[in-house]
Amino acid sequence: MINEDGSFTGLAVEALRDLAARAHLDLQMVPISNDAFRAGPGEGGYDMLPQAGISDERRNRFEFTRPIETEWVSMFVLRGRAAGRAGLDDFRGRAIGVASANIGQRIAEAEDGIDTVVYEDQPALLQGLLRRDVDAVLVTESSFWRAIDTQGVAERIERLRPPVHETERAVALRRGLGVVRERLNAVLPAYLASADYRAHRDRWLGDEISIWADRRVRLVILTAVGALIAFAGLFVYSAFRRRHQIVRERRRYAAEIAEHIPIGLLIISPEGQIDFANREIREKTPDGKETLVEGHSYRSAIKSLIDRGLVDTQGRDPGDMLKVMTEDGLADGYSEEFRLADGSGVFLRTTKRLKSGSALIVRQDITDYRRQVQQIEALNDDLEEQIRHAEVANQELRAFAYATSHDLKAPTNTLMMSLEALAENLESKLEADDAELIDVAKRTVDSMRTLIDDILTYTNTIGSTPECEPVDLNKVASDVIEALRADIEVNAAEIKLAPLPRLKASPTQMHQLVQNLISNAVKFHRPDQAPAIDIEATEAPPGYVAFKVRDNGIGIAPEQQSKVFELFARLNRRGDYAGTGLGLAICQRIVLNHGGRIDLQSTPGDGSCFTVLLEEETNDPPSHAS
Amino acid sequence: MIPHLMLLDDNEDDQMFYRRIIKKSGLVEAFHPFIMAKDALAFMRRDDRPEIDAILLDINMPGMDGFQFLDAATEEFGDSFAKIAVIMLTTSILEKDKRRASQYAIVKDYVNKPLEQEHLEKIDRMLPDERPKQ
Repeated sequence: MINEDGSFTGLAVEALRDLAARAHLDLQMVPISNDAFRAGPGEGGYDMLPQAGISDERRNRFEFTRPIETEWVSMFVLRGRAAGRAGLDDFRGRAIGVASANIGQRIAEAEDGIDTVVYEDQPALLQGLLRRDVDAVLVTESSFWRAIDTQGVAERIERLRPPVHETERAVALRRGLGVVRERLNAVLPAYLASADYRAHRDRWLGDEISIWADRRVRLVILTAVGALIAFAGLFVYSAFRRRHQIVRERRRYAAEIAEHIPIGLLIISPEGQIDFANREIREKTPDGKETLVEGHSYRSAIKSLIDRGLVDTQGRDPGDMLKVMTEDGLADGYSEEFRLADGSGVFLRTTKRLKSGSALIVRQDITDYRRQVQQIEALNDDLEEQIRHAEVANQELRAFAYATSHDLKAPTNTLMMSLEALAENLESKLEADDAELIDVAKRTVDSMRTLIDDILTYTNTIGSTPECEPVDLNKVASDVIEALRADIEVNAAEIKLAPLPRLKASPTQMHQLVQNLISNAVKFHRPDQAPAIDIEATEAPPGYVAFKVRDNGIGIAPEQQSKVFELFARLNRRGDYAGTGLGLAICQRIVLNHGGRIDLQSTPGDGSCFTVLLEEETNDPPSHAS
Repeated sequence: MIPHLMLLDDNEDDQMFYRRIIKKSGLVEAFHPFIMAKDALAFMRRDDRPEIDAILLDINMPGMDGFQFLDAATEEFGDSFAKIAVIMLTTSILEKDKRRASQYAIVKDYVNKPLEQEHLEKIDRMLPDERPKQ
């Protein structure tokens, strides 16, 4: 296209100009004739055509760059005269118009049976069509549209689809310009995508192309959105599938656990049907495999068990039992133990109402637990029975001791009084030998009384929970020394009393304890030495008090030291030292009653030391059985 | 000097020895021994009975025991049916008897059997000094 000022323009010209600038090529535009155009670039002619359709025939004569445009060669008819015809074949025997040197001419002429009318150029071709000289034209679309637009006859023209031919266009170069071709090729892709090229297209191809471009954009957007939706869909689908798979797997685990867990599980629907019964409950219910079947009535299953006497009704009427198990027993939180009638099973049955309204019955087999509890209870009963026996024996012993006290003590008292009265009456008449006999009798009765008293004291300390009250051991010791004054004076004993602790204890038993220890210390003195006795507090662990009674007496041989606390243990001849052999056994008993201990350190011929440890406050009563 | 001493003990043999000791001690003006508690109560009901200075009381007796006698006498004659009551214990061990006896205001002391002259002397010392002592 040649402007008024003689310069050249057109889409192909402008594109080539831009491409040359980008490839740093300096081009000179010259006008050529149609013949020269048909001949193409070549030696002795011109170098380049801005654009030419690519074909094998042309490739033999000159070269092309990469394709720039796609060109459609299509049929055009007057609007409304297509009459169902679409392709070139449908126009056999009819007149087809073509433009000279246009690719349409070559295609039409190559077809047999087509009456081809060749026009000088495209505006002439359009005029031919409008005049109805030809039935249709076959021509490159873009240049023909331009002619149509120029003449403003778009309303009257109709393009047929599909295109008859599709060809690509590119810059045509004469042979020997390979370097130029490659430089153009290098900048082509970027240029085709550029805004410059798009602007040229808009300008030269007008609305048609612009709409096409919008469509393309829309298509691209729609494709992108579609792809996005498809991708998101795929993602959602795969996430859903994975979730579904996890849920399915969890369900499978849950089902497996429910089936195999060693706890009976039974689900009863709101209508009273068995919805689920696991292995444990089926196997541990008599005929459970036949009765506890999904879909069966729960009530019938239980009724059959009760009617056949397989369930221990715990003394209830079978009807009541059925009511309890199938009505009350389906309430949320209901829990009860029940047994099989043959005693083979004890179960704890607990009901949990599910959201669906179904009742979940959880049944634990507590047969072993119950058996163990029974064993423990039986052992406990045995033990309690034994304790009771021991207590009865203790009570009997104490009752026996009390009887001894009164029934033996009273006659010895009477006997003693008789002997004294007799001695008095016969005082002046008795021979010395006879008086000696009466003295022996009196001494014997006296030791009988002492023995009886000691036995009594001992039996009183057995199994008696001491009634504890604050006790000051200083006062106890003073009282004891006062009570033993006669003995102490006779033996010229010297007693040193250092401050003693206070505690909560039985006053009587404390008195007995201290008295026995002091009287022993006085009694077991060496023949040639007056007793010297020290009584003092000693160190004790927290919660305890301790004191010791030390003498300078005959002492106790190491091998005999463990014996002194035994009942009736006497280490000396009766004639040398009086006593019943109960004194230290009583001490031991009292100390045990007060949660304490009594220890002995002694060297024969040097003296003994008894250390007493007592609980500051006796909390636990001593065992009844001891 | 103990003007009127009453004694309650079910053992007749022991009574004989008590009488002996009492006579020998010369501390008692009039001695009123009883074997059965109901006889002692009957004596106390008599209008012409003397004021009793001291009672020696055994605990273990058939029929009515020593404590039951104390209850009956207190209920019938009030807290001061005698100036002193002294409990005679067969053994010195039975704490519960002592504890029970101490709940009676009239019980002033305990003695362990057998009764001896020194026990009588102690009772004599405990009596209010109304008469010149021998």
